[in-house]
Amino acid sequence: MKDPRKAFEMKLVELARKDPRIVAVSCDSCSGGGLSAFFQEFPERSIETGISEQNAVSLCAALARQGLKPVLVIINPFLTMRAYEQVRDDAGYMNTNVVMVGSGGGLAYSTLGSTHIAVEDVGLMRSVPHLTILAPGDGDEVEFALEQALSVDGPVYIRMPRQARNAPVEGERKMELGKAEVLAEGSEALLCAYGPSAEEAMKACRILQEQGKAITVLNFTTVKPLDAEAVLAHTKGKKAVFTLEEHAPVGGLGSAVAEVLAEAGAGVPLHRLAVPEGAKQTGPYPELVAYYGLDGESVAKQIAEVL
Amino acid sequence: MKAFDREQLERLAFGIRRNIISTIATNGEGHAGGALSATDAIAVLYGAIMNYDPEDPQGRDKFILSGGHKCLALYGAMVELGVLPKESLKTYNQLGTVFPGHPDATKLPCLDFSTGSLGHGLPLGCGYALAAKMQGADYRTYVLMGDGEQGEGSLWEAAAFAAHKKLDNLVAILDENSLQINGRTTEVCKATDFEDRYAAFGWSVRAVDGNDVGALYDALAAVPFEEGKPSMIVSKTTKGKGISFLEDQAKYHHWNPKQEEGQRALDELDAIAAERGWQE
Repeated sequence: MKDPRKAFEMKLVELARKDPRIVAVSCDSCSGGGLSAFFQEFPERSIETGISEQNAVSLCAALARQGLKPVLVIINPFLTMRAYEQVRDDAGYMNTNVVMVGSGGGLAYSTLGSTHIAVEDVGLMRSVPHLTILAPGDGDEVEFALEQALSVDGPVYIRMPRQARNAPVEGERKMELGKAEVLAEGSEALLCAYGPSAEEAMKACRILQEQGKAITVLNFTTVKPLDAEAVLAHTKGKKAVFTLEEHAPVGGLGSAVAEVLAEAGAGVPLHRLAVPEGAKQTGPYPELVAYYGLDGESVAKQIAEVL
Repeated sequence: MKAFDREQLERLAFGIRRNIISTIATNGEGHAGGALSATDAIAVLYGAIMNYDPEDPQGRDKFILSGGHKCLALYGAMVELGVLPKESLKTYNQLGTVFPGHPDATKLPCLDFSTGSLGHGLPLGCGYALAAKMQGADYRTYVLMGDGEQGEGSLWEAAAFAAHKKLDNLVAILDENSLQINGRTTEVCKATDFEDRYAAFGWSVRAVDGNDVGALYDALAAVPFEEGKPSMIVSKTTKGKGISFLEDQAKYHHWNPKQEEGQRALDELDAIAAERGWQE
């Protein structure tokens, strides 16, 4: 089980050894955000702005205009919410090659309260023009996301997980930018997830399997652009579609999938399993995930009730 | 940098003002007050100080108009420099124009960055200045800000960063015309004491008459004022400068002239042109 921050930290150094344009930018987030190894190996390419997120985002946009490849790491809400306008204007509308990493997406900072959880970020970031959104769950996906982010022409947002996770499936993975990853195939329902929720989705899938219910599970490491083709292809013949995410019901994957289904006239019921709006319960991470019904067991139960 | 030539720079500033006024008079609206107060600084920068090549966005000196609403002065300068055709300004604010009410560098590659939301300019300037230091490039970065704009916290994040990183290739000009939409900057919310504030943040600061091309040239030719420090020029200006009835009044921040008002402003400029021998 790879620690996602460690995976990020090592991958960044590996990529930076090959590409001298990569620079790392910290908002007092160097150690917590997985930049320590980079700062140690490439001090001349390391930028510490202190606690100043708005400044950091604009600054990165200007660095990118001069041909550098900034990787900016900020605790999630302070990037996606506090500095949202800088993200929209200077990274989005200007279409600059800035990689913005929001540490601790979803419920990752589960004990720290509503100021530190990030369950509105995907909705906000989906509205930013030209932005690619990547939401890895385990260490392998983190490495994949970072490598892809640095190859994309345009701004990228990575919703970083914090807790170490098993891969949602064993064996060789087929990850491709912009494509949903088929984790399981079954005829009764479609379950769409991303990030840490992908592992919970597969737990639910296995529980349902034991009950004789076979479902398809899609993993959207790329949330935007959404692989609408995969959503529609795997909706065909299903009794219901479910989305699962550590995000509020508004604006996240649930909303994105709803748009795809409605526009295609798919006519299949959609159930959004999400963190309720305004929810601010705190506690240990696995317990909080279960409290909101987003763990494998709860998800299996909710799907079984519908089926 | 060119040698100082008062006649050339005053004529350039005049040409910019004429572009501002004729565009507003034709179109029926525009941000007049701040564009006119900042005109002389923009004229001196593009006319004498900056190493500017419209075809070389990465290598040239950078100019960020943090108060993007003053864009008519920037558009006017581009026209006077021959970078953009004069006729093109007639499309200002029309559907499909490359001259919107705030500058868009994705539509006008002769500009360095899109602006419009206040408080972005200094952080962007820090990025350009830092990139030059990191890449060993010798371009300089100039940021023109407003005084009302100093209420934006993001500027002060950047002010600390610029001093901490010793960005002496960064030059800020604070267009202190002492007015903002709702009135005097002293009365709206204490947008004052900028020399002391920036000095306390670690900048090297000078105050100049910002509607005198000579004073502006002398200050801009002397940067960095101190090695290892970013330079701040507090440019004391008059809002609406150059048109008698627009000067020093908050209500002309954004101006919707009646036809006769627009004509009166153009007549004033014609009189100056006749007196100075600056016919088009």
